[in-house]
Amino acid sequence: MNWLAVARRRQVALVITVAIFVVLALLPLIAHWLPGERYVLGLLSRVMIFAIAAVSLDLILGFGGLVSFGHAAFIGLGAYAVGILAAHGITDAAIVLPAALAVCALFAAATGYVAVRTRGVYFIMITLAFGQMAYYTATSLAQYGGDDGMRLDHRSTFFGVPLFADSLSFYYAVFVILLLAYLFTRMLVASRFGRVLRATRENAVRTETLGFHVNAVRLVAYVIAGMMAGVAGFLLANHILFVNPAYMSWQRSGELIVMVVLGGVGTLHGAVIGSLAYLLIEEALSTFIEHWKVIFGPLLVLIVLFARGGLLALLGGDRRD
Amino acid sequence: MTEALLQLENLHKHFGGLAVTDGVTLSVSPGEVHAIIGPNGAGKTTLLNEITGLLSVDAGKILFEGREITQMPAHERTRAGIARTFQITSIIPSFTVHENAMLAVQANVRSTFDVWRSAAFDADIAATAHDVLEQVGLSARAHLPARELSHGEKRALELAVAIALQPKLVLLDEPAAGTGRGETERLVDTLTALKKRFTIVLVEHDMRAVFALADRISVLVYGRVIASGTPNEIRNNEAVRNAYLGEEAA
Repeated sequence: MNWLAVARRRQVALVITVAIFVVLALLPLIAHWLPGERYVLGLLSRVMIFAIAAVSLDLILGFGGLVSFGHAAFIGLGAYAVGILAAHGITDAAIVLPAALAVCALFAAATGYVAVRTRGVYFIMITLAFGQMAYYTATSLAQYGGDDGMRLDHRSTFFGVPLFADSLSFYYAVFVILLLAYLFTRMLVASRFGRVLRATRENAVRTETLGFHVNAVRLVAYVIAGMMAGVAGFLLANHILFVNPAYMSWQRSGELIVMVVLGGVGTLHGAVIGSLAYLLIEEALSTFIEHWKVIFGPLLVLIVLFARGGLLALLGGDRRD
Repeated sequence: MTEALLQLENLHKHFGGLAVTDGVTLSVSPGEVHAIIGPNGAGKTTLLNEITGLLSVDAGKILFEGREITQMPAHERTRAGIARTFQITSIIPSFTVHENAMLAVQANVRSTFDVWRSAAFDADIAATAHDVLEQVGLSARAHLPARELSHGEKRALELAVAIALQPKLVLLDEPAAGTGRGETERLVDTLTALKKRFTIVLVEHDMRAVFALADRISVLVYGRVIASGTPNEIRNNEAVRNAYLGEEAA
């Protein structure tokens, strides 16, 4: 295709991305006049939290070709950092968030060290195994609620100040973090590091014989993605005020993959659109129909069949390649 | 005699019961073009894979600049100065031609983990990459996605990528494979210009290209070197004629 078409698609993608963030930024102002303001803010906070996780997954899946089927484990680890520290009386984000990041970095480094040595289906299986390992470990933590999880009394404070106590300030905190996560990832994939990561996806042998340590590049991306998902977990625990092993289950990891694929793999804004679409469709269907999954499943299949490249492609935005 | 740039000492490699590399001893002097020829299945590409570290050997030693690299991972060998091209074109298809070259130039600069700056605006790297594309005659195609190049152009890009690494030794795996006669002639011209700058190990089936370029030729048959010498010695070698050249003449 010629470069004009490419440029046009990039423009469309840019417009879509800016539009999404502008709408998300202005929505609380509109919601203020609507009934159920708290409900709308709560729902969209959840959407944006999962969008952070989906963007981090798109970094390794879309740009590194690493299909992680255990990405939800990092959400769980971030959430459990909040819950476990709260159980010991530590509820300040200045301590909790770095702790969550450190735990996720460690877990990602240890499991990633093994996982990045594998390719394709083996990578999927091994990340699934590590994810389930984290899940079962969480269910066995009897003093932290075991299977049932645990309740939190209130949101994390920030240097002693309950900054995010009301739903509006929490909404904007999540919004800013999503925006930063998106911009950081966008910068990352455009950097030299990102170029090498993209090259490993398409031709790992060539990249290795250019003198790049392919596994090290993959591992660094994996750790960064894990830490970003950990931030999403930290926010999720604060949002729902509840921590549960189910955050780490393989179904959750699968949902994250669906969100990324739904929006358009390897585009980053596709991950945001995907989580928005996934969670809103889920919410809408489950309000009206008890067995909403009967409709949701085929709907996903249709989207994947008819919109290769995700919803973004339907909208005329750019997609991978 | 000067020290060999690359030295293979009694390399062995088995795939199951099949000896694909069977006691290969070979030395490449600095500045020479050393061609490796032999019938299909002789283990030429395998040998290149062993030199670049994509395959491990069962026994024997590989020395580069006098240093043993037998156990060194592939990416470190490239950094030590060994670049290669592949028989089956190996590029990054969705990258532009220019970005393929930039990736290779960047590999030389060694700042893989620079995540803070946009790579697209790296002026130095971009300029060097353009330079390299110029040398293989691809500068007019620089902004095309690499997958849209013709076969011959892809082969040229392969070469550009290897040059961009500024290696001490270039391993070329059938650079003329699948190219037309005109393209082969252009390739020989390009390589003739390059042979002044790099030491080259050339695996090639096109005998006109081999005899036009090579300073020395080694003949590989069933994983063994059956002869090694100047083009003239090889041309007149009885064993070689029987094993290989004779086939083509017949």
